[in-house]
Amino acid sequence: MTIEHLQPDHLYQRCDPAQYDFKTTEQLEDLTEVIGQPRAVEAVRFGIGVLHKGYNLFALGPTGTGKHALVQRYASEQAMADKLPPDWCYVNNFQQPHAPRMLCMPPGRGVELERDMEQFVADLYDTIPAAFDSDEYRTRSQAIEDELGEQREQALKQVQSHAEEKKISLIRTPTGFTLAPVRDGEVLDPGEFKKLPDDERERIEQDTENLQDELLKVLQQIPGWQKETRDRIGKLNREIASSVVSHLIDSLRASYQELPAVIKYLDEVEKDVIENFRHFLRQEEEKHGLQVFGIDVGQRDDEMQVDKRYQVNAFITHENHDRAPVIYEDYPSYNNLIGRVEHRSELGALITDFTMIRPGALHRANGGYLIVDALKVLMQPFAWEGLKRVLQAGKIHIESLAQLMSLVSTVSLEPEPIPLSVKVILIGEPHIYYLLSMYDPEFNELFKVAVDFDYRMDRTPESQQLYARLIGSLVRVEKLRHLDRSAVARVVEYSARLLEDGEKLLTHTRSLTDILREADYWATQQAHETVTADDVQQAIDARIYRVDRVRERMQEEISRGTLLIDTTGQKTGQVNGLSVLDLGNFMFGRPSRITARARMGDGEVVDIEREVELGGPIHSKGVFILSALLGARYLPDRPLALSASLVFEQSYGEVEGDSASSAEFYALLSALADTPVQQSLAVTGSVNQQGEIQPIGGVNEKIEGFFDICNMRGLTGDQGVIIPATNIKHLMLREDVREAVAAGKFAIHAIDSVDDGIELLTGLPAGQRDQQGLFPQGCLNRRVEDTLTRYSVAMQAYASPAGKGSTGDSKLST
Amino acid sequence: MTPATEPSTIRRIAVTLDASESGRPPLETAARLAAILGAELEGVFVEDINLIRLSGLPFLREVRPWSIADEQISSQRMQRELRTLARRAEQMLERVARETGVPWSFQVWQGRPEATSLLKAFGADILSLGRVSTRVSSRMFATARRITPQSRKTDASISVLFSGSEQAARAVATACSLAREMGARLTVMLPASPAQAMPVLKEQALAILKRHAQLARFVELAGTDAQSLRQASDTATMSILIAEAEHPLLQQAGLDQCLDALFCPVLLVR
Repeated sequence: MTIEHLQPDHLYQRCDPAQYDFKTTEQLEDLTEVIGQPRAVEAVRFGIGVLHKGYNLFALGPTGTGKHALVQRYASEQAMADKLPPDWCYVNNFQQPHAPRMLCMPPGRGVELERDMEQFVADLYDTIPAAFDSDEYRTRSQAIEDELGEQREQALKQVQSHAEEKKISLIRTPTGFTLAPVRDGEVLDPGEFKKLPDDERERIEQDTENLQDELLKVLQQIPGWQKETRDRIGKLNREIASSVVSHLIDSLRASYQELPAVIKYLDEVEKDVIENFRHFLRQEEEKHGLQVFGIDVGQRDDEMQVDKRYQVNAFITHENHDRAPVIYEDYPSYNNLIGRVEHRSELGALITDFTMIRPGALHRANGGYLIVDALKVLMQPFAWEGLKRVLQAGKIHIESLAQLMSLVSTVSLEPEPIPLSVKVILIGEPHIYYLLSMYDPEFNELFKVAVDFDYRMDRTPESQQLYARLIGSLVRVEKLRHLDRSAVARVVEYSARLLEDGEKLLTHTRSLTDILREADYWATQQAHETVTADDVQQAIDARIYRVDRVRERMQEEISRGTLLIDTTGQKTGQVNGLSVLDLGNFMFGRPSRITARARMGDGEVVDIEREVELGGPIHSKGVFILSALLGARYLPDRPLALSASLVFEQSYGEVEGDSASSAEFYALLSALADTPVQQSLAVTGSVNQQGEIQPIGGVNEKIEGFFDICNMRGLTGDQGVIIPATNIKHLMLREDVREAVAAGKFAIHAIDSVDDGIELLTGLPAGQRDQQGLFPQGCLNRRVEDTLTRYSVAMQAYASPAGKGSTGDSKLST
Repeated sequence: MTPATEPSTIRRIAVTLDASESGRPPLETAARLAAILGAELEGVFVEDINLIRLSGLPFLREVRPWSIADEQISSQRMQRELRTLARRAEQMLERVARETGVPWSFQVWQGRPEATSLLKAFGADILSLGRVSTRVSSRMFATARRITPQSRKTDASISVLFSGSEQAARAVATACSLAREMGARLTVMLPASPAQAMPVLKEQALAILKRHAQLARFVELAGTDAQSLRQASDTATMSILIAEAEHPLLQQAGLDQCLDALFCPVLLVR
């Protein structure tokens, strides 16, 4: 049995500014290493270093622990050493325009090819019209046409000549030609024809028929001649176009001779330009396409615009990059990850081509690192499935969601997939990692490396020095005022307080940064050049003030007697318990009156909170434990004939946790022993079945909560709080509490067992069983056991046949 | 020169209509000139009397160049096809006249498609001629496969035949007006003449040009046939030819041959 009356130095693990040999953090070097995360650092190095499939990373840890900064830093460092990934371009597939082809180019060459092809097209617009405007072409083509003309003319002249010999003329009709007999330049009138002698008429008819046959033969030959002419001119056209294109393409071939895929593409371009050289002869206005009411509405025909046809979509380029990419995708929607094919509207229809393929984050990070927030990916429709599919396939296949879901059946682009080599780093809260790990079988295959971030580290002299450098680094990053050594010490203490542990330091950089920013604000208000400990304290106080309205109201109601809390005197069956209210960004302690009532019964301890479903499972567990402790501790060889009830008075919300189980036990013992309890003390600590006191959370808030009430009413010197001895290391109490303890106006008692508590609360010794197994007379345990014995005897009397209906006798015998 | 030689006295411009696309340039030229001179446009669809006659000959067959087929000719079908062509020609005239904002009228004329006859028949001051004759030209089968780059766009160029007559003076004055409005180059073509006659003709032409403040270049025709006119037109990259109706070259070489040779709209001035 040990009761420790804690001295002020137990109540606060002070950080001595004298341990720092700097005046302000300005003199400190930036912290280059990561502190407090040795496990995470090792995991990141491992994950980034392993190049096998599936060794992607999941950085898990509470928000604000610097996960993003750490993975970004290590990924960037590795990226500097990594080889620069290739450029990726999409080009037209001349055979299947709906399936654009992909070209893999050395870094920077993609943009070069894009520019070269733009220049190539511009050159074609100059050289092709010039070639077809040349004297060579005009002369040669005119000669071919003239040849046809002469051939045709000669044939027709021959018919005309034969006709003239027979006094017949070739005449054009609305839809063709005919041969008619003429006299003096005029067609023979039908009347005159009839007047001709029969043999004359027969001769004319026969001649006309013969000539018509001859004309028909000539006309039948003309299409053949025309086709031959067209073929010859077509051949000439190709020859001229080829000479121009080959010259231009050859210079491109020379530039890209070491890239066979590009050479193959250039071969196809050459062939296609020769086939489609007419595009380059169009007028400027024709190139832009169809207009309606003066508005450009797109292409004149269905063919892809010639300017685009030979364009290169330099999809991913690394022209000005000096390292492998490290991409953070802030909005990881399906399209932003996988890429998309854009469309433009033309006369109500949606049109697209390979120049409208846009990369996603995976394309941009290909050959490097992609950092994504896990929750954001999971919240975007199909993004998680898309990411997994791509990682499994090892290549990126751009498919719209509509295609994926088979919602549309129209023809769209199917770009050639791009091989993927990327290290994906997901960042998220631990519960996301555990849920995915448990419920998504693919997750463990694809994200084999867990990077587990801690939010605290050991507080040692060395770590406090590093912490000062961390503060200095954050100040520089945030461009704040530097801190003097006292301010640093105060921040270190505040860090320990946030953790509720005097032996640990918080590595939650966001919380640390927040207090530095706020201290900087108050230093500015005070016109301090550097942030002092007072500025830090001001920041802490102001922060509490902003959020402690609820605490104030509760304290006010206690002081007005609305909430019943005694801080002086003695009461039987009533103990001041301590609870913590968590408002999310602020926690505070408040005393609660715990009362117990006991009478003879069938061995049941009723937890009223549980009965009305206001008690949480852990709280109920605590009550069950204390019931078991009661049964084991007193009358171990008899049934407990007890009916007891426990309640948090004036508690109208849910009660959770077992930190009040010792207080409830004391209240029950007080009721059973009919012994009053000191109301100047408050109790916290959970109890186990052995009667040992176990540590609880929120010990600082709980002590401060009771202190505030006592202080408000006036400290008597008797007041104090009983805490588990195992919580001493967690104490980081407020200065006013420490001062009161130092002045003997308030006390903190640390205990190990319920017996210690009994003694402090009742002033009676708990009492240990003697050799006969009996508690000594006058101790509290004896009183409890006597009461329980009386209940048991009475209950026995009620249970015996003689006792039935004669309760009065039984009572008397107890 | 009398005031009658001035283009302002031109009130009516007749144009022979051809329903085909090749008939559109002469119509547009005439419409533009009518707009410039404030004249009325009179479209004439010529039904060649020869077509009417031959349709009565029962043994004649029509040979069609595109379908390479022949069919018996009948009066009924000939009349119907001519009516169809006339209707299309009228529609084209209406469209062009509306675009240029000139008053217009249309009529079908049956007879021989000779320029002088047409001028006399309609009492028009100017006749714009397209393809009117039923005579067969070898150019009808021309293919257009040769590539003509659009960049090689030639400016409009007007040529006028000048013989020294009063009608010819009127033709030159009309050409000046048209060239000024169109921003076209003007070429004055002088007929092949004895050496001593040429300076006189040129002097006369220059006087008219001076009055109209119009620059022009002079081309002397090599001969008196259609081929000479064609050679000269190639040199001048001619897009419109203006001539007096009674020009000796047109009389001698034959209007049809000239039209066949030139392949551009011809304006005949009375």
